[in-house]
Amino acid sequence: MTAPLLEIRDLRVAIPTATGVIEALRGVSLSVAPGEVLGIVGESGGGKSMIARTLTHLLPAQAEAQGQVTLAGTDVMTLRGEALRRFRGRSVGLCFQNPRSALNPVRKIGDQLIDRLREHAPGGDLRARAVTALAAVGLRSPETMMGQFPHQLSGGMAQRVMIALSLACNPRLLVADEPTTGLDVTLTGEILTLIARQARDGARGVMIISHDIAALSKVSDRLVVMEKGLIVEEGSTRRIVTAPRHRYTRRLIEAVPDVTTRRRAQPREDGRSVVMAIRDIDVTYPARFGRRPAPALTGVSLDIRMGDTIAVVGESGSGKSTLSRAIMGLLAPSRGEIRFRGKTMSSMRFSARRGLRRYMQMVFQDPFDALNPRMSVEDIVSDPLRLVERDAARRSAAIDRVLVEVGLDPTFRTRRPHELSGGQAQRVGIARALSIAPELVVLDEPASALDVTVQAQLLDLIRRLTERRDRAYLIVSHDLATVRALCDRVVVIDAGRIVEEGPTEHVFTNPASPKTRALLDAAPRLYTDAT
Amino acid sequence: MRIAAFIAKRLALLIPVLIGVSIASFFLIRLIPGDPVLLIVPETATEADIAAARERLGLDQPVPVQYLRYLGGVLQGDFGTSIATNRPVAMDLAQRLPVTLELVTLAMLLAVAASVALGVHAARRLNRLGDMVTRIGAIIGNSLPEFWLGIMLILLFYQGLGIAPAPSGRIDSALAVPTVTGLITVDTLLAGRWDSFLNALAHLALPVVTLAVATSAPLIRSVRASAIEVMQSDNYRCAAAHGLPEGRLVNRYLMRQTLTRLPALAALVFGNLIGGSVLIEFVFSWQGLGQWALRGMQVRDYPVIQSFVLVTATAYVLVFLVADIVQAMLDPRVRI
Repeated sequence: MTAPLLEIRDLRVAIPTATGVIEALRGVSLSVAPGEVLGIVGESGGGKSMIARTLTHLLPAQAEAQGQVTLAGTDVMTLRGEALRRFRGRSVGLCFQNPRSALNPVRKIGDQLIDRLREHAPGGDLRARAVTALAAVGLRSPETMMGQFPHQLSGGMAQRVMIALSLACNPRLLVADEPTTGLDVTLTGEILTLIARQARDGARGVMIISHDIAALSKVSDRLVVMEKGLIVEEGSTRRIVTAPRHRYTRRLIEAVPDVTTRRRAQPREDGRSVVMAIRDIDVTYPARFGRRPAPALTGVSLDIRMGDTIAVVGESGSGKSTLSRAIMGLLAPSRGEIRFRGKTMSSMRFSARRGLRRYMQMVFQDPFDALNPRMSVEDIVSDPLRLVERDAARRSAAIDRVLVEVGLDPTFRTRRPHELSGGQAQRVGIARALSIAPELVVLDEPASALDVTVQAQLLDLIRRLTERRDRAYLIVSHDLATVRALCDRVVVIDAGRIVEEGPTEHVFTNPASPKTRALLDAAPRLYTDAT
Repeated sequence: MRIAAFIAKRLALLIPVLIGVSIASFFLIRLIPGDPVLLIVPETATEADIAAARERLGLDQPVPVQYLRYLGGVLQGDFGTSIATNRPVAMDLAQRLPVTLELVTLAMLLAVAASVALGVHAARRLNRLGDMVTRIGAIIGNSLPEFWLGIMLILLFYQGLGIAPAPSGRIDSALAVPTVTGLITVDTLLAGRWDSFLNALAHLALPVVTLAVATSAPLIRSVRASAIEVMQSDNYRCAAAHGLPEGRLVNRYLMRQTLTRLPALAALVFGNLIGGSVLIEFVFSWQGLGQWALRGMQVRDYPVIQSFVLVTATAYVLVFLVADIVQAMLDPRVRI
């Protein structure tokens, strides 16, 4: 084995807080060789990001770090001032987790790129080199992008720009901290491959930090599994995914949604009442002045029957969120008709729609965004209940009932959102939706903001709820694997049109549309024969 | 083109704003106790004299009729005649508006420049000495009564050090130049009189500094807060983590983003200044809008007060229009 590029020995990071000292890292040792792709996997709070932050001196000001960190012969811990600035970027290039917020919103992409080139790799025509750099990360129209601002980019484009920025510094070690958060499965694979490719020259090392062991298994040479500030297992990716030794690693692997798991219960025969009928709708967002309006949905038809669980699957920007908004009556279709409980909802006035709202509820992607941070769980759940249940005692009993239903102890009533974990918060979101016994529940990527093991538990809850068939569920997702075990029918949507629709098993075994096949290929799975 | 359409739309907004403001001011000032007619007729006037004066001023008509007459006049550029001085209000306005505008605009420019420099400086030295001094200084500047601050500056720089001219208006009378725009700095330059220009600047210095000090506290606080926010943002830390040099970090990553949050607040402060510079005008014998409006208020000079309100409202709308355009220029995410 070649001499390591990065060598970390017994790294400890403690962060004093008002309520005590948090030991973020409790003695971590690892190394990255030139040309190697190291994956660091674990759930949030495990301390993975602290490693990246130590490397770039971005730890919180009050944090205390001990240990030895050597990167390309430089003692990282003692770097200060000008030496630190030179080290940052040139020796270690960090890709931030959320590229959209990590790009300067008021500076053109091209200028941000040139800033880095000028500092770390000057010489030649900087502009031309910047265009080349953008093209090298797979951006299609780099010339145009030079003059664009971050808010004009999609999530995937922003992440590519982020990678280009980090590479522009020509770092010895490229560190990517959760580079695929918020990206759909297709993009996740592409972005990780792009990052891993940077080690191919044999001189650069790559470190990818992620909670997604399935995605890492495809691109990393070695894996380090972290739990609670400690490395619990380390080894070649192949060995870890095929023969995990530690209990926590096994849990992570088991939590990977399996594209082959089938739905157990089958829907009852037809003849069930149609809860919602969508007939040939178009949805068009109002155009900006001087531009032609771009249709977000075109000719979409769908019947949702009582007891159905339907998955709407598509990539980011395919129109699936628009569809869920139209279903919830938050957007009016420009053509076609949406009938809910026998009434034509799409032609109703806003106030009349309110009466129907009680029969439809929504669960949002980010549970913390969707819960009022100042309200207790009890208030959050009882808010919609107030519409239908005037009696306080009965309302209170209903809250207990619905909390138990989503797997929360009634003692959670007095908690506030910040006292909940992500999984618990999402359960509260589901409880709120179920509290008034709606006939249709729309779940928008209900588990994608959660850690993998929590994700598995939550999907299990949703599966149990849907198997009762006492209402209709519509699950919006970019991930086919997660929905296979949940849904009776799958609707694949692409560029605003339904490209495939049918019973789940049929779609999974005989995908007719190339889009469906692409989504199936991109579904996360463990690559046990990674090279 | 889009900007032209935006400006046109906002200017069109002026019409309902001004009608609303003029109605409110017109009726409300007539509710204030005090009869302007009694203040202008001689003490020996009889009932008949008073009635005659009232009729001459049109104040015997029902208030709605008076309003419509006034509105008709304004549409033709006639703001009425001052009850107290018998001078056309439009003439007074033309004379005094530039005087005040020049003073508060310069004060505002100084305040913004100083606030940005101090606010960013404080943020970069968060909780260290420079930060403390700036914050405490801002609070002191804000809490000092501005007329008192003006008087102290006069005592120090005119009486004590003798480097500032007497607080006797905008220019020494010997150096006076003909009025063209009403802005003394511009007029002196137009007249080609360098000595007059410098003299005018010297006269402007103390009142401008006083106003700037008195108004910059909220600006400094806002700049400091947004600079801190930017420095804690992912994008600033990312630029730092990529090893960009200090100067580039501050200019391109910190300043620009900090500035995008300033225009709205600056516009508010500016708007307040236009209507609220009266104390400073008084202290420095500045023959501006504020003093004129105050005198009008004292004698219930209806046309004067109404015009003052209209001018201030227009100024607010225009200042916010400029602020929104500046904001859009600074921040590509803002579309107008």
